[in-house]
Amino acid sequence: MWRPPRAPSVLLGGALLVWTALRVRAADAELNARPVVDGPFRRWLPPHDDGPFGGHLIDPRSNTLANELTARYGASVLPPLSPTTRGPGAGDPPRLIFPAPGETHLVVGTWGGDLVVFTPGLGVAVVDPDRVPADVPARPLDVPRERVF
Amino acid sequence: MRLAAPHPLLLALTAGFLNGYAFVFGGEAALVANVPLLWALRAPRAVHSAAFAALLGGVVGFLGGVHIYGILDYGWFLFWGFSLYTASQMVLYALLLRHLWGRTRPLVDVLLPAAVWTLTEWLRTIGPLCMPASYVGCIADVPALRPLLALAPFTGGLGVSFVVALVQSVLFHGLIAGPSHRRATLFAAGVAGIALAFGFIVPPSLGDTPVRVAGVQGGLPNTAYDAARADPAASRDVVRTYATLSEQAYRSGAELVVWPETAVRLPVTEVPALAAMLFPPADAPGVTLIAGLPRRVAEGDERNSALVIAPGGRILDVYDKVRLVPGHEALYTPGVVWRPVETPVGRVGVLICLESVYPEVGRALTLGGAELLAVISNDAGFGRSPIARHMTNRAIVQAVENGRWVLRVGQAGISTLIDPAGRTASTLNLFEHGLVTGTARRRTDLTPYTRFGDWFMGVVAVGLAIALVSVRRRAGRRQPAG
Repeated sequence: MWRPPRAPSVLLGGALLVWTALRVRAADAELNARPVVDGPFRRWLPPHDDGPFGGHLIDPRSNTLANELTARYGASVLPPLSPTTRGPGAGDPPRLIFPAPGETHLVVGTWGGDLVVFTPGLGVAVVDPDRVPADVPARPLDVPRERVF
Repeated sequence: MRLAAPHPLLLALTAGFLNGYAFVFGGEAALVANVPLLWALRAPRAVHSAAFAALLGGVVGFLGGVHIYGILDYGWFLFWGFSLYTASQMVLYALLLRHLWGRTRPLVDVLLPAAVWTLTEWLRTIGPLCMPASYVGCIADVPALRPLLALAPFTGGLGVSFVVALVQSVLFHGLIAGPSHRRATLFAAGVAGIALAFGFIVPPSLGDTPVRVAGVQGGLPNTAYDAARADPAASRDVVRTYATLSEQAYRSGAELVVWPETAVRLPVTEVPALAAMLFPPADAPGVTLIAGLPRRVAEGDERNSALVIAPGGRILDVYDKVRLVPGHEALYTPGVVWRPVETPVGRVGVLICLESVYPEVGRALTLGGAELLAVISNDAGFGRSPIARHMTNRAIVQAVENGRWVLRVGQAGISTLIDPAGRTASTLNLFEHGLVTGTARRRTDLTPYTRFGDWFMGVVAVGLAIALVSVRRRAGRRQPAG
């Protein structure tokens, strides 16, 4: 008949402690994991909170502005990138805003009370409009509001 | 000779660990999971001490097993509540065994752990907030133990769990408890062996009329849908994923194509352009789609539905999810009744997500005439945790209990085709995209379990009642003498 070791409590206790620690570590890693998922057309990167203007980056991707404008509105909408109006509230979306020299964001639209903003090389973020400077130069795009289909 | 036991709390913790491990990683651990707890309960101690040991083992073990950490995404309250609920099963098991064990015949002693565990599993299947979890679900994907599943068409999953718990009792009495129960242990081992052999001898019918099926797994993370709510471009990416995969499915020769739960969260039936992209085209006759979609019936009345779509987009039938996830699906109105949907390839019972863990749902659909079953789910919210694997195991149990082919299609995974013997084929894992294709077979006969339900639990309950009365009588006879 099988006999337990002399100090089974110590052995069991130690094994359980080690196991629990390993599982908690694995669970923590899993809970905080930001898996990258390869879809049939694109790679879905995990969202995070480092969007422009402190926004939540909901769809990180490294697209260029030209490609994004083409994909969303067609190639014909590529404008000369110079501001003509001011402020993010200066017109209906979509529009480009230029908060700093060499920095361009595409305001895709609104969602709830937030702005949906594409930043070249970064991706799409939702941004509290109060976080966007009110007097940034902006340029409305002469395109209809984007639709799913 | 009785061996000196380790500290009972450690034994209870070990049992909790093994149960958690069996649930998450290795179903074969279920065969030994409660042996340490039996050892702890065998030592003489107060009732509250036994209950506390089991509670601690249950909580820490199941938490430690972290088999529910996917639930963390749904909040800590649910996490702790579910853990305590799960642990209460071990407490009840310990208290009942503590009351009945060692007071009657040796054979009853050996059978009691299996009977009591079966009772506790059954109790987890009743009530509005019940959450079944069972040994049959643990072992469903263990190839070496698959023959045990052959009991399920007769006894339901409870019969399989009974045998697993019986093996635990045999191991405890054979290896640890000493020679006093040797004959009873040999008898019980024989019963377990016969149950295993039964699976080799009596293969289930696989059905008659073949149906070529295809399941569409987008493999998208939940964050893709979150982005789609805010950004039309992301929404187009989701639609494009399902349009392309569905097109492949329609051209694959499949007669029945199945989408996962809420695959596209747009009013597809109300937007002709979307329907044209996603639904079977008119020039693909012979294809039927079962589409998991949210459906707005009226203002403020939205359902989590499965729609049967004919080529050209005509809606043939609709099933609304009846058993919603408490809290998480509060925005939906529940459906009224479990009933199979009518399709050109036969009646199909659709179980949406959590419905697949409840034995009564698959049984009701099969009793209602379902010739095939389809489990459609999302499961992306659980991430890469093992919950999706266990949910898949529950679909296997539905297949063997009711003797039906099951096409399980998860949005994030796992998708697979399951035959009535519990074998899986053409599996797509978590966050992979593609099609699960194969040939299922329609069946119309009813298994004894489907016909009579939890009759096995009735037998176990009668046995436990007899044991209880016997213990009380013996106690009554001893009292005057004392």
